[in-house]
Amino acid sequence: MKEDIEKWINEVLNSTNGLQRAKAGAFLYPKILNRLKNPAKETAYISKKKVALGFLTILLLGLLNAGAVLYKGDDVYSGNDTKSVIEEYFPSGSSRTLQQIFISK
Amino acid sequence: MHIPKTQLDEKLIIGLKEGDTSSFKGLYDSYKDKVYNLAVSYTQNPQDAEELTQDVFVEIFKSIDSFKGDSNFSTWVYRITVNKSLDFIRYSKRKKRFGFITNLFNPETGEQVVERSDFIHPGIEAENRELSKYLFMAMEKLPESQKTAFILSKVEGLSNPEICEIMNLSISSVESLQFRAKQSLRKHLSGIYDRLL
Repeated sequence: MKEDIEKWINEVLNSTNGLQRAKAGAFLYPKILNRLKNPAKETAYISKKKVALGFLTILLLGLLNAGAVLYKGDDVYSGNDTKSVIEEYFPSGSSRTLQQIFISK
Repeated sequence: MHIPKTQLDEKLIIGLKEGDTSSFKGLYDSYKDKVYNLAVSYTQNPQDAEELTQDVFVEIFKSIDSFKGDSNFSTWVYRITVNKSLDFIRYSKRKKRFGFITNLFNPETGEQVVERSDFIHPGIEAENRELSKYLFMAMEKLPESQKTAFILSKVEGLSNPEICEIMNLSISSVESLQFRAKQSLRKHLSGIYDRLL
């Protein structure tokens, strides 16, 4: 079995032995001359459609990010932890309110 | 009278630099098959290879002034062909990746992804045609540098010193690339064999 695979792989690897060079089509030269005369028809590897798509993608990502930052859902941080810290350092019986503390600073 | 090839190239290059189109035709006739053969081995599609061949000769015409004769003209032509072919493959891969998005936007004109699995190189001997199909299928999976070293050697039939010059690498680097290419091909072919059973 393993010998069969090895034999087949070697045959495939040697299948380019005796290969002849592929020949270019007969009508290529006029096409090249035409392209040299009309440079506006040059092939662009990145099409305008792709560039527009790129911009749209970036815009969409930007909007999604902005939406995520601005969104205020019900399950957003409730502030209970802060309240308990304030309660610990400034018990409700304290004569100064938080507002007074910050204003004095 | 027979003029040696390099001497003939020099004459044609000087002619082309002076804007003589018959010199360009002479260079085209000398190199068209080399360029096309290399391009078709990379793209595995005759239409794409023709486009690439056109790109290469347009590039040769436009940048002939930048050819200073530091290397052989054939090396320069091969380098342009390899670079253009690799650019084309990268572009095709990107196109393939984003193909589904493009089709969403414009389903009627969305270009088809080229299926290359059944490519048979036009110069392969009749009895090897079926087997070579699997070799080209496996070659698709090779990294760029390994693929280049393998194609230049096995398809274009260049010697290692010529490949070194084209790839701008040392002999040992080229030999290492060829060795690794064969190892990778063996691995991929083994997978193909399993699927065929």
